[in-house]
Amino acid sequence: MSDNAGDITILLRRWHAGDHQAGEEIFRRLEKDLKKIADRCLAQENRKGKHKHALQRTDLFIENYLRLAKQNKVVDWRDRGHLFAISTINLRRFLIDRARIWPKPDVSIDDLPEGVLAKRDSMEVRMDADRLLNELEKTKPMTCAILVARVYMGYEVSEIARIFSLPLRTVERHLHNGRKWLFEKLKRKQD
Amino acid sequence: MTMDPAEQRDERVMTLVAEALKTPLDQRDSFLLAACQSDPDLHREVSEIVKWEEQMGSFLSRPLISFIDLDALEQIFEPGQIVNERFEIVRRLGDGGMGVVYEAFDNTRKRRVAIKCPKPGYDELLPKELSALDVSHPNVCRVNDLHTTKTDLGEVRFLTMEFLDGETVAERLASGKFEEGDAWLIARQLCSGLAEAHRSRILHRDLKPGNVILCKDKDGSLRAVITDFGLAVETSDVRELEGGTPNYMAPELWRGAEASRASDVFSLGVMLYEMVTGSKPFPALSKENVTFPPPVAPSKVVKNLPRRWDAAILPCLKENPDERPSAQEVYAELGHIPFYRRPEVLAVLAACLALATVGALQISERLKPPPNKLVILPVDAPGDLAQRGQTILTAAARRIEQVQSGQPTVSVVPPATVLTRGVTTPQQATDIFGATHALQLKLRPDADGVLANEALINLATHENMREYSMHFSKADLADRKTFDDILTEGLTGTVTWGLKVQRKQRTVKQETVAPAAGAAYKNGRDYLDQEPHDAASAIPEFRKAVELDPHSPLPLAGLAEALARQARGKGPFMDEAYDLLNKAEAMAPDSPLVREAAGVLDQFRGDNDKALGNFGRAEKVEPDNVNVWLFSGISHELKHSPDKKRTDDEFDKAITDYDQAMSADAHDYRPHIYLGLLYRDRGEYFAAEREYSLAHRLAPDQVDVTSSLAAIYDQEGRHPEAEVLYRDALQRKETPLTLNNLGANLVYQGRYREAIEYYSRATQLAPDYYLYWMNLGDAQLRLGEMEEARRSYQNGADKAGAHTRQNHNSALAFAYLAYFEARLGNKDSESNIETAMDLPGRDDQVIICAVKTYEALNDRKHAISAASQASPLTVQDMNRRPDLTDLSHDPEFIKLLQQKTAQ
Repeated sequence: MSDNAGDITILLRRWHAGDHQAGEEIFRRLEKDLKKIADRCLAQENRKGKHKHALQRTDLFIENYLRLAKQNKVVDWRDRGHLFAISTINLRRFLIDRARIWPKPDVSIDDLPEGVLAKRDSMEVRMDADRLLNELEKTKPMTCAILVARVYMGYEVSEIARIFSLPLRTVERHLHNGRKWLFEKLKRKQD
Repeated sequence: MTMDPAEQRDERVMTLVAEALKTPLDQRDSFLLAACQSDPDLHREVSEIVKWEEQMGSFLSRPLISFIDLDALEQIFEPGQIVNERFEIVRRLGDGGMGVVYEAFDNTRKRRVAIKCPKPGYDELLPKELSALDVSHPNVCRVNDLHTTKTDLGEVRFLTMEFLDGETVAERLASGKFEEGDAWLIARQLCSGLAEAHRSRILHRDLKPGNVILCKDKDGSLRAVITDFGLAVETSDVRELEGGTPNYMAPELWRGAEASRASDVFSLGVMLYEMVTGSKPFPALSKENVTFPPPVAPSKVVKNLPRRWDAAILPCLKENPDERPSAQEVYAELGHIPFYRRPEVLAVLAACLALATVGALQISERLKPPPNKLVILPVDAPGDLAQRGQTILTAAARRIEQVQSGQPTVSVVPPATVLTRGVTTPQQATDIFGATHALQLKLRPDADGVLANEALINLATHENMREYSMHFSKADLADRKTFDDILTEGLTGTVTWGLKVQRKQRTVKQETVAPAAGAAYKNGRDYLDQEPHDAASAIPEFRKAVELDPHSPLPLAGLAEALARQARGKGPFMDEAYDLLNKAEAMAPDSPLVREAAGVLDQFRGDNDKALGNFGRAEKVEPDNVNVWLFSGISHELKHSPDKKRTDDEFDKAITDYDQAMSADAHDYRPHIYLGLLYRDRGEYFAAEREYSLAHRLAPDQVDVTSSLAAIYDQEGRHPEAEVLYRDALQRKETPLTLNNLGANLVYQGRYREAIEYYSRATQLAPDYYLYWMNLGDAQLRLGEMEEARRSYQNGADKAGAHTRQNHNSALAFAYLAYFEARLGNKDSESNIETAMDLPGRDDQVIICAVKTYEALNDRKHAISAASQASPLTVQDMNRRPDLTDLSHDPEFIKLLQQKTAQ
């Protein structure tokens, strides 16, 4: 990759300060990875195959761009990872808005400890998880984005580290924190 | 990357967590205590995380979705899938960064096609206007159509295009530079293709070795085809170059200028340079270093390379686009390169290509690839048995191909190929050959003999579909008959039963001919069953057979058919034909050969519906009879007329019939001739060329087939190649068709004097055929030999006139008559040409004749109006014809040509 994390941070600052050219430059540099995020979402979306008007990756890319541009006025970008985190959340939100059915992964009941599962079926767990993710997003956006990237988009931990420009162990920590948070909430609901 | 303190903490904590979780449960506590000895905070932090992990188990530790495979996502179609109820996907051929290419079989047009579709997200790469791709040139990949289909991924648009069997220039370059001769041939063809596209105002934008496919032409010559014309919207972008991707982009494009003809020519130059020298003209480019120092002349890089190459290539590489030549000029420059080794090199190259495409050739023999592909894995046996087992496998492979009837169900990868590719496992059979099934033979010697075990494996499910063991004694082993033959049959059976292969069963003929009459009858049939039919020679043979065996309906039917063909539907012969047919029908009304004869007679009477009924009955009884499928196809073609508006439907039916004929006998060349003719009449010269080539391969001795193939080359403007074929055919046999075609070929090349020689010879051999007279007269006229020309036209007028009196419906005869009369100054000409244009049999040949007539009458207005009724390709042909040069310069005609080309 030719883009240097530091450069991007500077560009983000400039963009936030109103430099449109910097915004364009960011997208030119990060296009590949942003499109990858769009692809992952699409893989989810299109996997269902039931949609009359399946999305194109370009649609998602543009959607994300528009949302980011709007957010640029209120969000003070920290760095490249921040931008990607917001992008992941943007797309998830867009897909939920659009279909109200995302994320709807093939949750395997075997994966859920009995305490969490109790008498609920996997559908219920899924709905709860979805609601809780919205909550997590407000308090810990980065943790939420990383959890979504791993659990709902299927990224490898190492890929997440590269895309979000974070050390591997930091990503692991976010993942742990996110899972723990969700686990506790689900369990508490049960109790 | 520098870490902030929090990240450093994460690093320490999570590394310990990972290690702890790897430690057995009962040792974890002691491990953590030891690891965090000096740091109680750390110990607390790590322990808590580990505890939570123990409690959560695998909760959300893995992706919840069942593994997303982006590569699988890019599999838009799957082999075996039928898209839009028409295109059967055969295999994935390749992967451009932005699109995927599949080989498919077009069930409607009965031909192999390539399908190109953009990967998800790259839909914008497909052109908006398909007409922009409609460059018709042998060296430009022909794009058929743009389609849309629904898939799991949503709506997918895809292009269908000509299927090209071969390797790319990039693949060839991987093994070094080209032989000069090959390079010259390819270079000329590339220039020619590019020039044609540029003439049609189409830019390539991304010309590179990966976009040029080298295919073999069945006669051994080479065809270089430029693909992806106008598809390259995003030219190779700057970032790609960081990985060292070779690039062919012109300097001005690097500076952000728009693509132009000159930038295409630059790419061409880089590619040609690479082909002749094996190296690139410019040092590797990168984002930092975009410089184009003057390249070293190719003749300095390669010893003994003629300087002319420098003159052709170097100007293309000029930094200033305005200084570069046009593709046409490069073509001309290449023409100056003396080149003597052509035939030799051609043969060598053809051999290389043939090796690369052995499998494909076997498929195209039957046109439609079978749905199953079987790999026979190398025999699993010790020592001597291995070799014997391999021989058996080879025999079984051949047998499996042989026993299949109709459309083959399975194609077999030859065991020798499997061995040379080093394939030994079912997985490799899938990966390397894309096989659907594998056959495995194990031979295990034991005390009493050998235990043979055979298994047919479905490679999609990895299940053994059939498994079969058999013990052979030592005595069995010694006897070739028992061991080898039984195993061969057994293996064949395993495959044919397992894959439900329809095995051949010859229909038993209901009627026979007495042995005494057999020879004569067979001779008669042979004369009739060749193309063109030789009815005149067949008649005496059948007469003899009727005499020798008056009780069989077969000679009667044969004689009836021969007489009808000889009489062309008119005169006393025709009456005799009906009498004979009645007699034959009285003896055996359901005999397929009697129905065939009846159908032919119907055809000559112009009652094609009735003919189709007769052929249909014959097809039912004897589906293996090639003749009836062919004749039924002809009837469908004859039913088509411009006024009845059922063109495509009847044409499609005819194509289906010819396809059936091919299935009935894959080794008969005639179905390909019929199909080729059909395509030619529709102006689809590429399809026609393919069919003629197949026919040529099946019947290399039929000189008229060779000539027909050459004629297609002429249509495509490949005159020197055609000339070689004609001369080859003439050496074997002198036929009027070949003589005439060679004459025409020479006229195209401007060699009128030589042409007259061949035309005259054609008229001597076939004085009744007025077309030859026309050609002779035209050539003589061109050389100013007025008297001779007049004599030729008069002869032609006599013959055509006689034909119009015999057959009032022959549009072609009227058209020719009109032309001759125009040349002779006879005022009936105009009314005759009107008659010709009004007759239902009016086709493009008649239109060409009409245009020529009006031109001869100096009536440009009518000439153009007649031309406007022809198909686009015919109009393009008119544009090239030496006898219509004046017309082709008329602005009105140029306008028409543009309209037609845009269609």
